[in-house]
Amino acid sequence: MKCALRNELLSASVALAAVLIVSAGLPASASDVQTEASAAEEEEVQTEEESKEPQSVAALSKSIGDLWLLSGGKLSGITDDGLKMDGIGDAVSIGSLAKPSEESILALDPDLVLLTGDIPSHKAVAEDLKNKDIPVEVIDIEKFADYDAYIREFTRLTGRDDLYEKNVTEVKSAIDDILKEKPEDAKGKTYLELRVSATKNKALKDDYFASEIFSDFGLINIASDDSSLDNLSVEAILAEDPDYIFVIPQGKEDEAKAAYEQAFTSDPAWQNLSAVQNGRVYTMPKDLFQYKPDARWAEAYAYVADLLSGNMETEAGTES
Amino acid sequence: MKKDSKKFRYICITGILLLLGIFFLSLLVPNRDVSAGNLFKAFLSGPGSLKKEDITKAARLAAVILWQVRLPRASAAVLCGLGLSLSGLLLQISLNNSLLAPSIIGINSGAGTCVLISALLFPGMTLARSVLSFTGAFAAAMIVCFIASRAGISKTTLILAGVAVSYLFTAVTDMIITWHPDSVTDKAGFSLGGFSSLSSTSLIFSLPLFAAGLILVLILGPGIDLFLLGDETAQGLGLPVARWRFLCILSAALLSGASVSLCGLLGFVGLIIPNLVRMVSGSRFRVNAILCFIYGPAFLLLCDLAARQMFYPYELPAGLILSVIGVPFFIGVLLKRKKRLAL
Repeated sequence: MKCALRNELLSASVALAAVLIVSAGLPASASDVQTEASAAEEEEVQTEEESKEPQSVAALSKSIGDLWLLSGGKLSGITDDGLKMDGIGDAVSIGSLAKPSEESILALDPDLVLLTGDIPSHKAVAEDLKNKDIPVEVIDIEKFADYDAYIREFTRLTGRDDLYEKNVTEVKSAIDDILKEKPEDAKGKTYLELRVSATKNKALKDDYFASEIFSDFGLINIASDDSSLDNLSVEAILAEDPDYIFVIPQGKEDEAKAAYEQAFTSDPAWQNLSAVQNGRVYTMPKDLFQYKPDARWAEAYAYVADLLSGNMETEAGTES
Repeated sequence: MKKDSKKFRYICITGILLLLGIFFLSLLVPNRDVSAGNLFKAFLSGPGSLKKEDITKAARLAAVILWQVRLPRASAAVLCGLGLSLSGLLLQISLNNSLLAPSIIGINSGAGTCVLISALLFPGMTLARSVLSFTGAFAAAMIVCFIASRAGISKTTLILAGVAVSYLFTAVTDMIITWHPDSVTDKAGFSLGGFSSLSSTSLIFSLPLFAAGLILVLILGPGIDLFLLGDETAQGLGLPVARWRFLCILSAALLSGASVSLCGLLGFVGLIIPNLVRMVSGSRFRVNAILCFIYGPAFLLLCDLAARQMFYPYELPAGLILSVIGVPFFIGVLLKRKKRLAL
């Protein structure tokens, strides 16, 4: 009898202890619940505000880094091609454009990583970073409207609407002014846009950002179609016989220039092209037509306008 | 013997007709921009049709395409076809290993690496491209032979050494592209090989290399069959084995280097064509060389024709077509041969 009573008392004590332990975690009163909820909300708001302006941003190319700097942001890290940019500050190297270093990126503890979807290594890095819950933004600029959209988004993050005004609105206005004066005789003329490296020439299609510039002047790209292939046949180029050939060098300009000059001047087939015979083969400046011009977009339009108006020296070195 | 001679003649005539047929097809096949009629008229008028002024725009375009685009390209395909297949045959017989080919023992990779180096150091200099291409091919061949001579010249050692050297040069190419990503606009196209960026100048500058390689083949030909008897027997019969082998490799490097300078890293031709002709005609070098001379170009011409016409106005790398067509075809021949031997 005494033993049974003892057991009962023991069980009751254990149950009471368990209840006390569990209830220790519960709010003692409604006011406490309210206080906790307010604190949580305040923290959420504060977190939201903090997340609007990333403090540690890494960019995996010079032109992408340029977008963030133009929006008033600061970079913690950038690939080697962008280390000498104006306004780069103390940004550290995070590898090369073709092979960014994920370790270096992670070492920055980034709030935001900006990269391009065009380079396979960037896609791989993006996947890994997303798996680690690091915010990633894939930048894809095919036309001025894309540049506009990204600067708008970034200036909202940095709170610098004045820079949107300066680097987009004013630039767009300058472009519109240039297009108002565009030479009418260029309308309907055809062009071939050729990316040239030391080893190969490749025709560029309408998804290339510079194609929009030429198109705005009324020029027609002979490589414009929906095919995913891009190695345009020499026979097709001869058949289309473009009025203009725009050469965009990849890599060192002098090497690419030497390679394409060898292709154009020495190959008899290319000598039959009207553009070659009439001196309308132009090497386009890399900083405006190989890399995205960003805030200098209007300069790219001005360059083409001068070219089409005949105010530019041709590759033959004579005024046209 | 008489039966073999008849069979050989039959295979040769068939091959020559096939080669001529594909060659003329590659010159005269129409597409959306140029008609067969205009191409045929340009062909009959000869290269002089380029200078005529009283012809239509369509006729002039056909003349330009035929004489200044297709003819150099078809010629390059013929040269590369015979160069790569003869190179493979030389390596297989002189090193007594039917699994050898310029692409397998690193010759192509070595040539390709040096073509990239020449493009960076001497941009636009076609002569440098040809010379460096041969240098890379020869260097790779010499490294393989050196390794094999130290580690023991067995079939396995040669293949392993070749694979290692091939990987080494491929790694060097990748390193160059990593440090200079802009050096190659189209890495896949460069690696697969093709004739889309061929220039007449590079064709002309490669001719001395092809000529030197072919002259060497003619000189070495009579002694090469002795390799099949084994080194000791060949030496006993008066063949200076080491020197002959070195010259065979030199000739293979000349032919491969010249080919790579024109068409990039086109592989597989040097492996399958010599093996196919040996399946059909036995082991005699002279016979096999003649058949490689015919069927190598025919095969490569066909692949290039398909590469440029299948998706006109866009082209695929000829190396892609070569692998897609060549590999199943070769596997089919191997399986058919096994079945025939089993019966």
